[in-house]
Amino acid sequence: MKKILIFVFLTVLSFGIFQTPNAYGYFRFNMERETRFVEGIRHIEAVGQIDYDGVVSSQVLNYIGINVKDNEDIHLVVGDNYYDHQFYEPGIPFDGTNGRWRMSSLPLIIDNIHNRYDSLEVLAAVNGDFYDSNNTGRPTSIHIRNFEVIHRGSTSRAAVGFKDDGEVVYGYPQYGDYELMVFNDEGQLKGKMKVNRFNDHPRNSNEISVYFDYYQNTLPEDYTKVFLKGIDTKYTNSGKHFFAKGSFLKQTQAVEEIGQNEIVIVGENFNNDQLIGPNDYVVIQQSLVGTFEGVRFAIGTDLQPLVENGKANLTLDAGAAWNFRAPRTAIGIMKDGTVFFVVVDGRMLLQLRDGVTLRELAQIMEYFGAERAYNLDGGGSSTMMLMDRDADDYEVLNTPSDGRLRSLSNGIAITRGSLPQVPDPIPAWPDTRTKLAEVSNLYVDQNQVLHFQGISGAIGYDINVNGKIITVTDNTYQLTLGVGVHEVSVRAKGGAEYQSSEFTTPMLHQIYPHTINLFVDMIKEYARSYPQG
Amino acid sequence: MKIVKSVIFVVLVLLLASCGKESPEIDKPEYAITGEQNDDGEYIGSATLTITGNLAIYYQIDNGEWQLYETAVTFDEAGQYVVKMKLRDEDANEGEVVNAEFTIVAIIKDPLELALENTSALTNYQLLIKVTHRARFETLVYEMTLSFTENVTLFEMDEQDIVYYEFTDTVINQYTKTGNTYLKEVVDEIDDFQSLNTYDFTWFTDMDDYYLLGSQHVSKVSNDILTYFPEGTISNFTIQIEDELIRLLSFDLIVDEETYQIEFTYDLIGQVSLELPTV
Repeated sequence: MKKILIFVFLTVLSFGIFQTPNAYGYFRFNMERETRFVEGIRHIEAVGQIDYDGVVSSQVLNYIGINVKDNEDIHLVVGDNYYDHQFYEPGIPFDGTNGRWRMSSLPLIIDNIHNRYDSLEVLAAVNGDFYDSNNTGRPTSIHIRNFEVIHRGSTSRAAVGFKDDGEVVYGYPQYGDYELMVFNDEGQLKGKMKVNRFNDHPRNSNEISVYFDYYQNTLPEDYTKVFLKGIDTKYTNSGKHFFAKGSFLKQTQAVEEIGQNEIVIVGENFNNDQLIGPNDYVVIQQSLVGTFEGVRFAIGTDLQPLVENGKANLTLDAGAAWNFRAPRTAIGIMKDGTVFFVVVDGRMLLQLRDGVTLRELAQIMEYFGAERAYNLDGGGSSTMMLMDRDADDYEVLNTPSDGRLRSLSNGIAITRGSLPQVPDPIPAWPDTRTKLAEVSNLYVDQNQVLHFQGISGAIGYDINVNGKIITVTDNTYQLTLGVGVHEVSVRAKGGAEYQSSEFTTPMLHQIYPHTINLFVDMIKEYARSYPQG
Repeated sequence: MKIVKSVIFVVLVLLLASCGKESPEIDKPEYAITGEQNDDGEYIGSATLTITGNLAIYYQIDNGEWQLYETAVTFDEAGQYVVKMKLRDEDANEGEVVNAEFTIVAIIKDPLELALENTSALTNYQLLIKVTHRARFETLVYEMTLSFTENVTLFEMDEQDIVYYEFTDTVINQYTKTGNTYLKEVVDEIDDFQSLNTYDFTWFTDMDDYYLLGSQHVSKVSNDILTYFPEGTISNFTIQIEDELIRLLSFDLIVDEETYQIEFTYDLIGQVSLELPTV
């Protein structure tokens, strides 16, 4: 009998030790909170203890959050270290590393966001998806950047996606057919068509094939071939998934070799109406359907959600070392449109930074009011930064467990500004819209403000300053140029209703050094002195 | 009867003879010639003849008409002069003629002095202004033009920076190029600039091809410029002349340890024609 009792006791005990802890859900947040607002972002630093199902641990965490629905100029943006496959800059050959995922710490990811989006300012940022830290730096899950699916990643992991209206979607991205989308240089969609094959000849006159530069065989004869200069190409090692973006190079019937970083579209009649022409660029990607259709940015999360319907997921039993204490990063979405991030410090017991399990993290996210919350990469990757405008820098809010900032694959930033506009598509192709008149009377006043004559019907103006396009809605623009000679030209944008005008002949605008400006002022005043000799 | 006629003839002869004997004694005029003289006694540039006498004074220049002397006579043209002078009383009795002979030689001006004078008097010309900045790795050149007519001045730099100044009796109108049109506005006159005619040619040393301003005189010509460049210094201030006009005025302006070579070239003398833009 005793043996039976001992067996039963040991069995029960072993369940207690080795089985999944039961989700009791008792949670007590016993931490001192200090709250401040920085650039409109609520920042909470909490220090103290949490009690989860009777297990008390010491914690330090940081919270940043802002309502992205009410604040129209606040946007969640995914940043990354992914560089274009090819630069196509003379003298910069492909060196085996450019064009691949690279890892860098969060400040560099912030820099990359600034470099990509002139009109956005990063206010705060956190680390993002899990990633292959061994060599490639590839994120584990999907990575959508400005509507472009530049990485599919694992389909077994869910992702969060950010739409322009502040909506945050969650789920498993679903894909449709491969599409070939043609855009003019204004980013207006001219048209799209289905891609049937990659690196394989069309089977009939209706099919379209796309070839990459690693294709070893000869392109098919008797087909139209449109060569693109690759802006960005990506394909998996298995050769099953592709992303490509390139600008029009040439159209030919001849069988030619594919140059480095070139993409070739092959078909019979697909470009009879010159849908793809000079100044156009083409994006080839697998279309997103369902929840993630129309998502501008997306990034992968962990295997299971932390909070659903305002309740912590206490049955969570998978994901990143889910039952171990570690530094953690999570994203939470409130009902009112507030999106917040929490980074919990960990792996520093002596500094009373124990770290949390995923269930504890779920409780914390629920405590802060998350209607939904998802785990992001944690451990040494957990990083949270907030703008310090006085220092003209970003403050690292958490205490990284590596003792330094870890290199990451991607991250999520809270930004202020305006997202790149998505131009209205061209209603039909061939294009029958009336072309707008050319902009006239360009000049730059003494305050470096560019002026020009507005055009009736224009929805805005593209200002080309030294090859860089700035889109404005008014017929004035404050230039911020350095010393030197600058080329400035302008075109009127027609939107969906009109064809845009041609760019004006470039106006040369020279900015003189300060000393020369003083000298010019002196000469002008001399002219006003009515000098006689 | 013959005897009577003879007596009358003799009486008349005697009467005439007696009249001549009663004419008064008339003095000679005195004169003085004043003016700067050279070592040869020649007068430089001009001479002034002053004549005195106790009767009316008449004078004659180089055998010309006799003229009544009223005030001192100034001679300012180079040449040799012979002036004759005499006194005349109320009865038209004249005294002895006095001769004065003298020579006036032209003033020989320093060419630079002449060029400064002539250039400062110009009203229709063009100034080509060139600023050469020799930076560490490159030489940058900036050019601008000032065109002057009697009442309009035009500033041009590149195709964009174009300003007209119209001088009326009351205001200065400024026409600034703004795209395809011009903006007209009234501006204040600035009269702080030093004119060329305040330059003294003796400040300069003739270096054959050009004139170099003595370093001790640089401050006399640099105030205008250093108003704009308080920390700047000026050196190598030179002038080149051609056809009694300044052709090129140049100097080095050193600001923040950078040297800017400034050149003003005088051009299109009397050939500038300006038409104000339509506003």
